[in-house]
Amino acid sequence: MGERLRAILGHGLGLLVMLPFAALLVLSLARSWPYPQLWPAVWQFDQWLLFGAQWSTLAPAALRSLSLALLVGLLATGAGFLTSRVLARRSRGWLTLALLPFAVPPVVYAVSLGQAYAALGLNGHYGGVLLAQLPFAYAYAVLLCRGYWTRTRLELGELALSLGARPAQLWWRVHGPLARGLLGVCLFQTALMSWFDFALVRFIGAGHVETLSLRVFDTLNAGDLRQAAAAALIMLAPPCLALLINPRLLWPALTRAVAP
Amino acid sequence: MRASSPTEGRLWLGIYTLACGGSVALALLLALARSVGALSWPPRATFDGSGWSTLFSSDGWWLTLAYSFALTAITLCLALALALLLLIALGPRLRRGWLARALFLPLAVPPVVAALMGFVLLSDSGLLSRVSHAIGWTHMPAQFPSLVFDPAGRGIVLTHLAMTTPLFLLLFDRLSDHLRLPLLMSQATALGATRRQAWLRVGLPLLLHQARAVIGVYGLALLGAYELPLLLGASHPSMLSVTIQRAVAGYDLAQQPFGYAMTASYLLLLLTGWAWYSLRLGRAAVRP
Repeated sequence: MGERLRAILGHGLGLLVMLPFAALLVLSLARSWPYPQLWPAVWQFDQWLLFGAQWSTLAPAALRSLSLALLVGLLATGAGFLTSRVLARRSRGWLTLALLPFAVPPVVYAVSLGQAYAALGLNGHYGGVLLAQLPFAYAYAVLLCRGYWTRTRLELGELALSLGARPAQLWWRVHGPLARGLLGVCLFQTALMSWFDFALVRFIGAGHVETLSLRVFDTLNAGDLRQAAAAALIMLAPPCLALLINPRLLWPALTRAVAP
Repeated sequence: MRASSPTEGRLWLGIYTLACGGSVALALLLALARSVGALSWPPRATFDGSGWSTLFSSDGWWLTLAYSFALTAITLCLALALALLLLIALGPRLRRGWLARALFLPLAVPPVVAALMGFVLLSDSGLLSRVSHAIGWTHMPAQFPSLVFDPAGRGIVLTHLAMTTPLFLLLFDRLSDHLRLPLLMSQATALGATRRQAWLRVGLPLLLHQARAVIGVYGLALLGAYELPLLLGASHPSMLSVTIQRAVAGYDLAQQPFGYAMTASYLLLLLTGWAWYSLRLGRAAVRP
């Protein structure tokens, strides 16, 4: 294939990938967009007005999503890193346990465990949603962090201890700095799992925990595509920003650890 | 002295087992109990096998399973084929310029937003329908093939395809670099293979073998997909997450035992698959 044709194909593919994003952006700025027109007839910025009527419900939803994502990310990454160190000294069979939450669709999980959450009084609560999202994020973090514990790193830890480091120092001075890049990726991706989640929020949250994903769903279901597009663009902002900083943040790094 | 004491190690192992295995086991137990009428409100004194008899006598669940597996298989095959064709066509250009970053964009899209995008682009009065109107192919929304709420699931497949193909393309590009595929291919051609043979006999098998874990994980995600089938799918047939949710959380309480029977049987299916995979993995680890 000629270099010129290849260039055209490449640019075409790139534009095709960006088309849905552009469509959402235009839609979020549209007031009326009747059928055969390719471009909105009337524009408005109401969907984006900071103190407009919609924003007063959109902002709390965004903050709730953000705090939930940060909490899930921090807890899952911390626990996952510590767990993966324990697993590094045990047989690889233990790792397959972390694959289980990936196989189970969140809806199936939420539908079956809804009863248990209701019995604990966690149904419809922020804490319940947090608790429901954690196993998925935690399993991911364990698989991701397992890759850090090579033999050299484990021995480095032993060396530091034999030179007189306290266990806390070992984490702060040796493993923390060495694993910084990995932990950053892990934190971001586990937080993103919570940020993207819809099924658990819908069923465990029982409509009382309004996050951005629920907001997109509700407005789309109610037929207001413009508001849904505005909420969707807020949802897209953090991962797209991460993409600009470093595409590696979005790469499903888990995959290498799963391969037998 | 070690970084973690044995008790601490056991503590984390306990948490790990409970969070990953325990929660799934509890889910299965609860679904099993609810499927035979236990734990329900109002409490039922007798064993209720109606859920399981409906499961085995009616074709609803089997249709759902077949539909979900078919859509997943079609999506995966199309995505893999497209990604391979694009890799062959574009080659090193994938790493240059803005395309290298643009291909990551679909990874930034949550499923709910993907459903919205699919709706905006594919619905009867969506952007594609407007484009086809502008070209003169169609003259009103009804003439545009209904991709959304389509019983054949074309809207779901197309949207899933748009989400997964770039990922597979990126993955294959990384893998071909990692495996030094261009070198292997030129070796194959030097040994007398045609370009086609080199791809079919060397390139493809190597790439697919290396990518099988990712393909498996994405296959499971597509199989259990919820948001897209809910928002873009037809009401009948529906994919399994939607069917289960409708039966369990719908208005018809009589459907609940059937819904939980479906849930339990799907969990059992998954657990069987998982056990098989774990055993195989364990055997692979033992081999020298």
